[in-house]
Amino acid sequence: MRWIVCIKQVPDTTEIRIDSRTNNLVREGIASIMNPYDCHALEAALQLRDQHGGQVTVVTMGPSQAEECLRDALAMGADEAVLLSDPAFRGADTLATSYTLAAAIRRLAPVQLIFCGKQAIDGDTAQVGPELAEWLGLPHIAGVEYLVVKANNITARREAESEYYLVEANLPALVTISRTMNEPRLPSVWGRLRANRTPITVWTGEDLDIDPNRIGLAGSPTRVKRIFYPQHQRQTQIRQGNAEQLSNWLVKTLAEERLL
Amino acid sequence: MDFALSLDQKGLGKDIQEFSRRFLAPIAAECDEKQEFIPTEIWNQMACLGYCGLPIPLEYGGAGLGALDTLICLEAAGKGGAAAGHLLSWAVSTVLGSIPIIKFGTPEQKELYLPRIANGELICAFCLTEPDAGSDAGSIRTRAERSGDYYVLNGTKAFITNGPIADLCLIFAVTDPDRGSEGISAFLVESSFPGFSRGKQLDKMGIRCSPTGDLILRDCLVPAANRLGPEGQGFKTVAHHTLEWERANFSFFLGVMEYNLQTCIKYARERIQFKRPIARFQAIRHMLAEMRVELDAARLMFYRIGWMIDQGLVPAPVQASSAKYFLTRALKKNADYAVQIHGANGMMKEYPVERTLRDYKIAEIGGGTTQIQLDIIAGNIIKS
Ligand SMILES: Cc1cc2nc3c(=O)[nH]c(=O)nc-3n(C[C@H](O)[C@H](O)[C@@H](O)COP(=O)(O)OP(=O)(O)OC[C@H]3O[C@@H](n4cnc5c(N)ncnc54)[C@H](O)[C@@H]3O)c2cc1C
Ligand SMILES: Cc1cc2nc3c(=O)[nH]c(=O)nc-3n(C[C@H](O)[C@H](O)[C@H](O)COP(=O)(O)OP(=O)(O)OC[C@H]3O[C@@H](n4cnc5c(N)ncnc54)[C@H](O)[C@@H]3O)c2cc1C
Repeated sequence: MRWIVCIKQVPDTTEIRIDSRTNNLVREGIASIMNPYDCHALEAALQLRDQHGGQVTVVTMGPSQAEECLRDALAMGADEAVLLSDPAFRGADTLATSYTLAAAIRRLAPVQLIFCGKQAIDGDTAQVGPELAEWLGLPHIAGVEYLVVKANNITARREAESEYYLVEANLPALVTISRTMNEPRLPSVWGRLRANRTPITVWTGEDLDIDPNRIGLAGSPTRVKRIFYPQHQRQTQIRQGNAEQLSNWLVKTLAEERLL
Repeated sequence: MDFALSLDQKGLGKDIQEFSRRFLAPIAAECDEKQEFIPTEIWNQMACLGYCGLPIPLEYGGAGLGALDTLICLEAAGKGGAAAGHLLSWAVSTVLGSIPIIKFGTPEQKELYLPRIANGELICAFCLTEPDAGSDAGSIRTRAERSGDYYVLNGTKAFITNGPIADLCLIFAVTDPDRGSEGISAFLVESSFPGFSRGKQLDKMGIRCSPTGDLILRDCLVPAANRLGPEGQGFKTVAHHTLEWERANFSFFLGVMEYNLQTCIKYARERIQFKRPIARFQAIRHMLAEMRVELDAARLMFYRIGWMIDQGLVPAPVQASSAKYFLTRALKKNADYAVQIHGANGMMKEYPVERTLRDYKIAEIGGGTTQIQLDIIAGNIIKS
C-alpha cells in the first residue's frame, strides 16, 4: 500500500530574483527548502501510514539539488524517495510538470492516495495537484484541512472562502493539503542519520513511459511573459474634526476611490 | 584538510536550529525573567528527537554522535535563538552527564543510567566546585568514607549547574585525605539517596535560564557500586579526561554569537539615521566585520577540539583551553557590539541582544576561569 507525496523544492526567500531574459526564477546562490505546503502534505501522509500501514513514497521533479528536500522528507519519516531529473524536464509549466509526475506515479502503482501541497510558494498556481489527478483519471479534493480514510473511501473537509465542503471520494484519489491541516513533525536525530544513508531513486525521461513532446519547455504551452513586483503606494492624510465630519469625509473618500 | 561539513552535520544542524527557533527562542525572554528551565513538555520532546542523548551510544538509546557532530548540534541550537542558559543546562546534562559514564562506567552503570539520560528521564549535574575550592579544584574537602557496601559522603558543593533540578549528580569527594588530588574519587549520586539535599536556587545576573544551586551531603549513603572509576582516580582520570568535552560544551555560544550577528545585520540594514541605514556607516560595518571574523576563528578552534576528541588526539589541554579562552573574548565583544549596534533598543529587554551581555560572563568563569585557561596554556608551552 503506497501513500505518495509530491514535493517541490522552492527558494527559501521572499526576495525572489527573476532572470530578466528568460523570465524564470534565478535559483543559483539561493538556499532551497521543501515547499512549506508539502511539509504539511507529508505530515498528513505519515500519519495515515502510521494508522493504516503501508509506505510513504516522496516524489519530486527537479535538478539534482532537489535531492536535499527528498532527504528532509526521508528524515521526517518517508520510506523511499524518487527524484525525477533530466535536462529535458527543464522549463516545465504546470501541464508538463503534472504530465511527468503522472508518468512516474504510474510506475509506482498501485497507490492508495496521492498528496500534493495546495500550492507552491514560488509558482503559486495551485494547478499541479488537480492536473495530476486528471492525467491519472482520479478524483481529487483540493485545499484539504482535515481528512479521514476508511477502507476504500476518503472523507475530507476542504476550505473555501467563507464556508467549507465535506467531500467524499473513492480511493485511489488525490488531495492537495492546506497549511492549517497539521503541525509538521521535526526530524529526529535518528531519522536524519537514516535519511542520509537511504539511497534515492533517480529516474530520467528514459525510465518513464512519456511522449518527449509533452515534457519540459517543449511540452509547456504556458509562457511566463513577465514577472514583476507590484507597486505598493502609501498615502497618508492626517485630518482633524469631530466624529461626524471625519466619518463623512471618510465615507466620501472611500467612495471616490471606489473602495466602498 | 577538509573544512566542509558532512551531510549529517548539515542536516542535524538545520533540524536543531529549526527546533530551537520554533520551541526554545519564543520562551527565552520569559524564562530569563523568571529564572526558569526548559518546560517539561519541551524537554520531553527534545528527548524524543534524540537531543538528550547526542553522544550516548546507540545501544544505550542515544544518538551515537561523535564530539564534532555533538558540538555542531549545540551550536545549531544557539543559532536558533535559544537562551544560553537553557543550552548550558542541556549541554551539562547531556554531555557532561554522560561522557564520564561512557568513558569510565562499568557495564552495569552504563545500563542503569545512560538510557535514562537519553530518554530525558534523568537531568544530570557535574559537581566539583565547593565554597572553598573553586579554581583550585584539587583542594576540595567533601569526604567520602567507605563503610561496608557504601560510601558515606559529607560536604557541600557550590554553584552547581542544574543543582536545583538534577536527578543524577557526579560528585567528586575525597576518599584519601593524605594523597591530595590523587585521593579524590567520583560518585554517581542520585538525588533520592538518603542524606542528599539541595540549597535554594541562586539568583543570578546572567545565564538565568540555567538553574544553579548548592548541594548538601549529610551522611549521604552512596552504594559502592556507584563509584565511577577506580578509587583515587576521580580527579586525575575522570575529571581530567572529561576536560576537552567540558570546554567543547561551550560551543552553544558559537551559535549565540551567530544569532546575535544576524540580528545585528538585519537591524543595521533597517535602522535609518542621517537619512541612511546605519549599516552604511563604516563604524557599524567594522563592528559587524569584527564580529564575523572572531566568530569564525572561535568556530574553527572549537571544531578542531571536536575533531581531536574524535581522532583520539587527547589530552589536548592547550588546544582546548585556547578554544575556550578565545571563544570567551570573541563572545564578550560580540555581546557588547550587539547592544551598541542596537543603540537604546539594545538595552531593552524587548530585544534579544542584551541577554548575552549578562550571559557571556559564565564563559569567563564556569569550567575554569579565563585566568586558569591562560595558566594551563602557559604551563604547557613553557613547561615550568
Ligand atoms: C513566478 C512564477 C510564475 C509561474 N507562473 C506559471 C503559470 O502561470 N502557469 C504555468 O503553467 N506555470 C507557471 N510557472 C511555472 C511553474 O511554477 C512550475 O513550472 C510548475 O512546475 C509548478 O507549478 P507551481 O509552482 O505553481 O506549483 P503548484 O501547482 O502551486 O504546486 C502545488 C503542488 O504540486 C506539487 N508540485 C509542484 N511542482 C512539483 C514538482 N516539480 N515536483 C513534485 N511536485 C510538484 C507539490 O505538491 C506542490 O505543493 C511559474 C513559475 C514561477 C516561478
Ligand atoms: C553560573 C555558574 C555555574 C557553575 N556551574 C558549575 C558546575 O556545574 N559544576 C562545578 O563544579 N562548578 C560550577 N561553577 C563554579 C565554577 O566552576 C567556579 O566558579 C570557577 O571554577 C571559579 O571558582 P571560584 O568561583 O571559586 O573563583 P576563585 O577560584 O575564587 O577565583 C577568583 C578570581 O581569582 C582568579 N584566580 C584564582 N586562582 C588563580 C590563579 N592561580 N592564577 C590567576 N588567577 C587566579 C580567578 O580567575 C578569578 O578571577 C559554576 C559557576 C557559575 C557562576
